[in-house]
Amino acid sequence: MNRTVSVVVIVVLLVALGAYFLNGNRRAGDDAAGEMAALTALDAKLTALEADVANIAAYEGIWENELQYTRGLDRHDETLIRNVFWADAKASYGTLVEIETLPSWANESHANSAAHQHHVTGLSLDIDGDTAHEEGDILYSSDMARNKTLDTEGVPTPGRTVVGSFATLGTGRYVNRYERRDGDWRLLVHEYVHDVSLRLQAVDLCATGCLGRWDPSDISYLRPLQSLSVEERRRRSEEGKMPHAAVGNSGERR
Amino acid sequence: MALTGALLALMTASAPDAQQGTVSTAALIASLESRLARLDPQVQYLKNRREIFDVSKTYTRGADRHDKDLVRNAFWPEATISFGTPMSRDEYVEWEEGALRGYAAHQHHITGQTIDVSGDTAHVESYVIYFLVPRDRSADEVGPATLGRAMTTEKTRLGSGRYIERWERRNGEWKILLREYVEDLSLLGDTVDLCTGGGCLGSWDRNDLSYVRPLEYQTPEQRRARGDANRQPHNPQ
Repeated sequence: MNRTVSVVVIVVLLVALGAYFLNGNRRAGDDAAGEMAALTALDAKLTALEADVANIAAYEGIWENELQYTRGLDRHDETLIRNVFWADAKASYGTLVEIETLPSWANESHANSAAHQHHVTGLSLDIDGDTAHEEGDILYSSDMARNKTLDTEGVPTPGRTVVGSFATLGTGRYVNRYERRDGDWRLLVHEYVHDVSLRLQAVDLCATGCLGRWDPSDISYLRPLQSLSVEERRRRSEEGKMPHAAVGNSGERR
Repeated sequence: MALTGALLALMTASAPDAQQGTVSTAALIASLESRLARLDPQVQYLKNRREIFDVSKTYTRGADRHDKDLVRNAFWPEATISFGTPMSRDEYVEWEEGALRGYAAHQHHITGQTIDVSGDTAHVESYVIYFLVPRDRSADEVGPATLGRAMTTEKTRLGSGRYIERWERRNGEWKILLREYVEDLSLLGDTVDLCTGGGCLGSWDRNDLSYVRPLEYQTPEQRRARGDANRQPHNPQ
């Protein structure tokens, strides 16, 4: 009898204990499930945010690549020009230009001009995974005749416009295919489409001051940038009036 | 005993579940944290570029609207600005506004920027195109200059150059500390009197349409009234 009572008591105790633990586990399970649901919601939000940021970052990355290209052209910086393309890229301004020769080809043809500047004013983008089709609106002037009568051996510098000459203000489009490799967007196909040409009179910039350079002595390369004194500006402008490397250290190129 | 065994089995069987939940929650938190950490520099990069571009655009807008406060706010108080001769911020704000007052119309476009950020310093090269329309001053009277009355016998200048700048971030705010302007090319074209025909709606004060909040549709009469005000070369208020 006593034995039976003991068994019953033990069974009741065990059932109570079991019920207690089971309930506790269920509560812990409920808490964990709640936490998990909150984290899963956060995860989904973060995934959406990552996609948004990736989209904006792709736009900025491609925009920056376009600007590095035009900066490279305007400063005759071969490294900058080359780095915006993948090695297997194809570029055409009428006929195919090999990427290896594009920087020197561009610099040589731009050196016929006393001054040139290429503005990318806006982009339209169509991104699909690691490929993007992009159209960049371009406004430029690049055929202001350069007075070459004082040219000597060496690297040309911008400056001296032929008095009375005309220049073209052109607008057109870079029609591009971009590819992303290891997170990096670069050009794979680059086609130039010309849209508008406007004929305007060229002003000789060096009559007042021509500070720009076609090499890393241009002040945009200075780190940290320091204020130029009036004398330093004048000295640089005087150098700019000599179109070739006869003056200063403009022969240094990277 | 069988019952006891079953109960014990039940109790221990539910335990790993809870434990596994804890482990995967921690793993999920760690992964969320590391993804956020990766996102952070990307957003910071985009934010820097956006903020610097915004301040630059505010500067050109200020110059074109003759809004000295907008121009001033783009620079730190001790900034140095040079278009040939180094100037302090306050000298520059006055000089530029005075120089631009000499034209019938002008507009500055910042088209693109290459930005090189290092900590709280940024080196920025902004490409700029601007138009300067000569003004017929023969009817100038006393008072602030207004946009309009082009001198069609003189050429309009299209200039193209670069603002080469050092920026600094203070308390999270980017502003220009140093600006050297480099003019790269300059072209001349025939001048058109913008006040004939379509009308010259712009103004060189906060009456300009771009300040209107909320912007409302302008009737042709309202447009005409704004244009007519600009045909009076000086506004005596």
